[in-house]
Amino acid sequence: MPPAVLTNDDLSSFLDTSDEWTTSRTGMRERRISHVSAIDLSAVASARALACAGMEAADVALIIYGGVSNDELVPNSASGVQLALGATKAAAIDLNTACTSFCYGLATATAMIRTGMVRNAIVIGVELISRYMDWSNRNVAVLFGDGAAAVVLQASDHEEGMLGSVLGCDAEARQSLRVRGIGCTYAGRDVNFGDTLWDFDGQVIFKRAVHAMADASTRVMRDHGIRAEQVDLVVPHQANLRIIEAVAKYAQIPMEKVIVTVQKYGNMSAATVPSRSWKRWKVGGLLLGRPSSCRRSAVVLPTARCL
Amino acid sequence: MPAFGGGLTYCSLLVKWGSRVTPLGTSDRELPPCTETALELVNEVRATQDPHGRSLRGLMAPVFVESPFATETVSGRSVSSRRDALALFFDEQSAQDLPRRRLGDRLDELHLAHLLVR
Repeated sequence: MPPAVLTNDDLSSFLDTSDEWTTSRTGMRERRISHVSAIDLSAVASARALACAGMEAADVALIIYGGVSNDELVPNSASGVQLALGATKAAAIDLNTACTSFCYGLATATAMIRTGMVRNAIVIGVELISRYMDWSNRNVAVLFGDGAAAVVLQASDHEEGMLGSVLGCDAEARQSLRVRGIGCTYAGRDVNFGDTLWDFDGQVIFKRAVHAMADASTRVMRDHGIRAEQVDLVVPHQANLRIIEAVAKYAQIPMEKVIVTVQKYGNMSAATVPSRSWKRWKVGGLLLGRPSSCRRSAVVLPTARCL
Repeated sequence: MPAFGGGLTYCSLLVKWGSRVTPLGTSDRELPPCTETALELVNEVRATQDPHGRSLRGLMAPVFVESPFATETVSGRSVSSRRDALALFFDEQSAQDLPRRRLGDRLDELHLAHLLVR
């Protein structure tokens, strides 16, 4: 995680907000701001994940860079991570499904391992939103932070890792969350790069997100014969404490089983799920999460290979 | 692992932890030291931004795939095309008064054609 901490009081030095205003609406108290590039963040997280896995960079077969914050579009960001690591044999993919980019990357890499396309993969979730945030809009400026995390997936003969997934897209609501100013449609329109306006319909996002996540969770559990009470831990996207609480309620999972880091790190988009989620947790007799001797933001996540 | 994002994409993953939960090694790789506060970093970005000034028109000009122009009303006037809407936005008398050579306008024409085909 980037070390620089932006507090709610810092934000109120240039926005019409207060710690109470932000905390009561979002549950957030602070977030991180990066002083380095997204590729630099990703390279450090990936190197630590590789060390945890006991792997050499030269043995990496695939790098998936998940996120919406690209230092450049051409060349792609995953190639920059490959270069920084020395993972010269790795394929390098940028994957953007916004905040779900890490999870989609995890599903993609797992599928590629299961089908035998690759033996292993690094999956990164990273964001550097502070560089293009509309810092004049308190409705979004208080929400987001920077960060990165990486996991290593390896082929395994055991049934472990990502057992199942439900992926989807509610495109009818795509206009409810838009960052204006990034993309080809703004070329030739005299837009200064870095200037953005955010379309952010919080009520629509809340309703759609809660329904989509609760429904997807119910489906993935049902598809694999898992009941809610059998789930040991929920690692949700940390967009807003109210959304997390609502999803847990709909999925009938007590909040004691739900990881909540939103108050310390805000919404790091694609970096949210993998980053601060891997704390010490006893799950089914196993220690789930980042061991203390492992450097932060790194975790080994083996996955089943089903041929 | 339930998550959602712009799009609106969503997902939920079912993960089972493996038998090995201890690291096989550690890395000394670190980020370089940060010599500025977070507020200083943010203020550096803010100093370069002007989204509500110089960039506003360009940021608001695009019309997106989900916008049904055939039935759109802009500022109380019915518009039947993307260019009509742009003309209203740019305070022009008609679509013909819009600059014809701007790349953004050309992209709009292409986008309108795409919408009509659909």
